[in-house]
Amino acid sequence: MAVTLPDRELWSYSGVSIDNYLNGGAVNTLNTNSFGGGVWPAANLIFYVPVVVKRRVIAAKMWFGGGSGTTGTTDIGIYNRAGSRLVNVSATKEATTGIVIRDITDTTIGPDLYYIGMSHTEVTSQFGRQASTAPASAALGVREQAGSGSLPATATWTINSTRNYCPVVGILIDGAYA
Amino acid sequence: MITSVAVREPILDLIGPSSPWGAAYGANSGMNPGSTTFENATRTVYYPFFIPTTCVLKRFWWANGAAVAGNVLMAVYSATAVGRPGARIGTNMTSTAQAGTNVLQFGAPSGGDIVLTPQPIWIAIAVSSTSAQLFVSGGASTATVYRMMEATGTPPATATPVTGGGNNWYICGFSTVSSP
Repeated sequence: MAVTLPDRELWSYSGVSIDNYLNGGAVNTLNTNSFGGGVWPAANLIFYVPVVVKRRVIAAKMWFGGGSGTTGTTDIGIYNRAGSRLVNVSATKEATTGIVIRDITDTTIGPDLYYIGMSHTEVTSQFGRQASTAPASAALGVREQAGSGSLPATATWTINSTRNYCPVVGILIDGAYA
Repeated sequence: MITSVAVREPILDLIGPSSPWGAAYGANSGMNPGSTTFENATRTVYYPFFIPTTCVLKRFWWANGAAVAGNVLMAVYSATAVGRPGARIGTNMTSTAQAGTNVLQFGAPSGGDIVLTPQPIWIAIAVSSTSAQLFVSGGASTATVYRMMEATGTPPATATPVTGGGNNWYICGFSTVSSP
């Protein structure tokens, strides 16, 4: 009897998005109890959020959760596990409570652990974030860095055990998704 | 003909109870931790993890709570045929005084890096003072049926685990990187 195998490892399937919210890429557990909008904790702060990419994919777009406010500039990108920036896009934040999607240069990644870097330049705009009690974010591998308004070529990251803020961010592998 | 499908499980940097390799992964309420005193100054508590790909344990870690006291000792164990903690893999962590409230703290195995091959494992933690506080998972109520313990003593060469002892799920694990 012929056996038909799936065209991909189904255990690695993550839909169109690889992010820190859904099971496919998240290294943290979903916690809807603490999800909502929150102002960026510090001007130019950079978060590095770990995501697992379990198969080779082309990162076509990136997204983050919008809250409110249009002030300031947001930068979002992908870093490898060594802290080298692979791709990024600077984006002016939109006034939306939904998902903000930005196009990036198509970048082939995976399988490996990556960090989604995200920075914002001021502290009045809100973003979708998990606000689990500290040190939950640190214990889930979230790192951060005091930045200067954009994502650096090389991350100099640290663990902040007192931070109770983790932006919800992701990579879209469907370039037509909008 | 069946062609094998390559398993490509990326190695995580920081592995804890709520990471995909931890038994508390999927515990929805697990990530609103609270600080509580360690349950018994002469007890070792075991928590199950799963290692899907060969990796190197470079450091153990735990989450200090609102007060620090005593020393922390951790170790990693293989699982027996029935899934209980069995033989210690590598060496214990160097006994380390708790330092710094409300922070993650790290300690290295006393004998150097520990190579972990794909298998179920148990992470053990013991603290020498009941004044010491650690963060526990907010979803700890189910831990009673997952955790085991060494009723008396620090992490031994071979575990003799028993059930019971409460439902605290101390937030702890290991790291595959030296920093951060």
